Amino acid sequence: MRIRVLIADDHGVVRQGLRMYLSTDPALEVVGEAANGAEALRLAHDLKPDVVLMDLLMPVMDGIDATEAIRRELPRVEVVALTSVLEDSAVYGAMRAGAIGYLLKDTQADALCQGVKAAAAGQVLMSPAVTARLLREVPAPPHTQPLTPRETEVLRALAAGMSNREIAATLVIAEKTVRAHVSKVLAKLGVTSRTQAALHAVRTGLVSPGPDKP
Amino acid sequence: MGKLIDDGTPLRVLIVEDSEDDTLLILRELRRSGFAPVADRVESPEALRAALEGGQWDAVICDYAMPRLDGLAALAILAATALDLPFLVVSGAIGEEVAVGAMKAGAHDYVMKDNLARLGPAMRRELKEAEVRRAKRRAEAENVELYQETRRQAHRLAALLEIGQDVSATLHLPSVLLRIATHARELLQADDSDVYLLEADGRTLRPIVSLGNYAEETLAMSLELGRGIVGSIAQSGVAELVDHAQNDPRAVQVPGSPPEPYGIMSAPLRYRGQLLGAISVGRLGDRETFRPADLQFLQSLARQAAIAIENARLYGQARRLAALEERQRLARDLHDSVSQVLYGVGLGARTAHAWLAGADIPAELKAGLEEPLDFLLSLVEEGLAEMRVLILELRPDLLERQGLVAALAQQATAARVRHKLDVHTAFCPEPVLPFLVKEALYRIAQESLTNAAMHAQAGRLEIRLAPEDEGIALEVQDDGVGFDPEREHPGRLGLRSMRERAAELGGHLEIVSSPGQGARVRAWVPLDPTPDGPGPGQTRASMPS
Repeated sequence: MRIRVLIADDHGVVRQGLRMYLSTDPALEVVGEAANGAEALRLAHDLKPDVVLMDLLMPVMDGIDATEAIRRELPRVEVVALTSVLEDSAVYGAMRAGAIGYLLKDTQADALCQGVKAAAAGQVLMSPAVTARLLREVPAPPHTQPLTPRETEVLRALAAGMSNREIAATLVIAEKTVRAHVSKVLAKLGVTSRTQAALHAVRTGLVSPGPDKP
Repeated sequence: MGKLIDDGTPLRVLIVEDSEDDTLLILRELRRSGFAPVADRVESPEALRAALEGGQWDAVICDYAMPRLDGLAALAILAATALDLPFLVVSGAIGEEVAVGAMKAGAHDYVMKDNLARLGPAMRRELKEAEVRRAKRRAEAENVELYQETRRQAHRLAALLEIGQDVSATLHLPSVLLRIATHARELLQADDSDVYLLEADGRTLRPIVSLGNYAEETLAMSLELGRGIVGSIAQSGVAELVDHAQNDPRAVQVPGSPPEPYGIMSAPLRYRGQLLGAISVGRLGDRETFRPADLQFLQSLARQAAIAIENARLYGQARRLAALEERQRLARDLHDSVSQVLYGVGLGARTAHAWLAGADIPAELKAGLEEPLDFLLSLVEEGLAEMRVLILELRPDLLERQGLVAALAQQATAARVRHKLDVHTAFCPEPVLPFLVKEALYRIAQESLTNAAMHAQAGRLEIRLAPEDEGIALEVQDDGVGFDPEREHPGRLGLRSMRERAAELGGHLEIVSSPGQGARVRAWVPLDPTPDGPGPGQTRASMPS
């Protein structure tokens, strides 16, 4: 099954370019385009995409608010922030709002398809610099419940950047079971995204910050 | 010369008389009338002159006809002294005409020796008259003084008003300060008048305006806060009037000015408790000293000057803020339009590339199409790198957010794509530094790179950033034509400004180069640029001119 992608960017040239480029990868399917955050939220409800590629500086509703709303209302939709130099600080806002990763608007377009696929597989990809800053800026969840040994294993694997399928293979359990464990972990930690769960794992020393692969 | 002391009204009387006996008679008569006379007797013009100049007298009693001096001559001598003393003629028989002549010449009364009983009452009356005349003169003098004071006040008020209007209407600080100094010099009858501004270092008073004999010497000499009379007064924060300043232990001789007596007044320029500078006026030579009212006026001028400086600072700040906002808007516009378009172009080229890779077409055609697409992509990469550097230059706050290392890396990339240089970098992890230090290092790197690219004909560049000795060192080395760093290089940007940037932060910058040997620019700044006292990390009043 192809990964269904929603593009949200207020620049027509960027939307068109992204649609063209993503279409060259047979594993991806662009299902819609939104010109602002509000439209992105509406289309996310209508189209139920796997991944939203979200520009952060947009009129009407910005990418951070849209990310936050989508993650709250549609937890199975992953959001990847799409940023350029001016929006550096917005990246952290997006991660806090529940984005699973971020991609830079530069010429390394190969990373684009890989990033979308990783997000669809639930892989958390963060550079150590971003992790360090997020640890500083994102407050620890106020009340967490203790995890079972199995949930801890899942969290460790998740924080190491593994997809659900990889976790399933490593722990020799069904992918569906992994998904259930992840939901439990998120609920127990009181967070809304795998990114935030991974941060928790780093903060509590479960894993060390991963290699630099934004 | 007999001196007689007795009870009664004290009376210092000078008796011009050639007869000892008559003098005794006169004194006896005075005592009888209730005086306690203290007397000198003279009988020559020289003795009279000397007595009038040397003593304190209440009255003169003069015989009329004497061998060496007559009454009229004695009157003339008294008139020449400008003393206003009762002058009574006591003589033997003289005619009516002579008596009238004497009165006309300035004698107040005449008493016949055979009618000496009149002397006491006449003396009392004339003493009273003289007292009245003195009181009147005092009142007149006071009126004149009052009038002059009023006029002075009016002039000073007018000057303050004019300066006040100037301060609110003129934003050109030097001309306002020049006007204030000019008024200070004229209205305080000073020989010189100087205005100093406190430099950004918070320690140096720089002369901005100097009027007077030693203006050039004064303008050439900055004062350290706390040094010299003006520096000490500025530091103390309290205006002061210093007479005989040449003897003051705080005094510093202006080089080239002769050691002569002078008086000085100085007031600190303060706004809301913050020292901004100082104003001072001086009088050279043995002139009248300044008065407390003068100091008050100088303080009024100082207040106006402080407001003018603050106004200029606020105006400069507003202007800089407007420029900053304009730059941020420009940066956003560039980002919104050009960067996004470039990104779109890149995606289009990538798409074409992707399709081409899977296309079933002759290899020759494929290669022919790949070349322009690669060209397009390299142009996009160059354009995006340029945009990032440009935006960083327009928005220095991004340096703070992205960090110095990321910013230097962008510089390196821009140098690669822009100038086709072989750039090598070695950066330590992002150091913890105040923003000003990061900005200075960034600008130094920028200027070094520009010099290397534009003037050195360099092919290879190395940029290094590394911690060193409680500080951080930035090094930019090129393999270009080199130059003599001791000489002026009009084309090369900011060798001096680079040195100044480093020095301002307590660091230093060295340039090692010689013709043909490439160049190495090496800047070192301490991690904590403010070990003591206010420094670049603190708020400071910057001084637009």
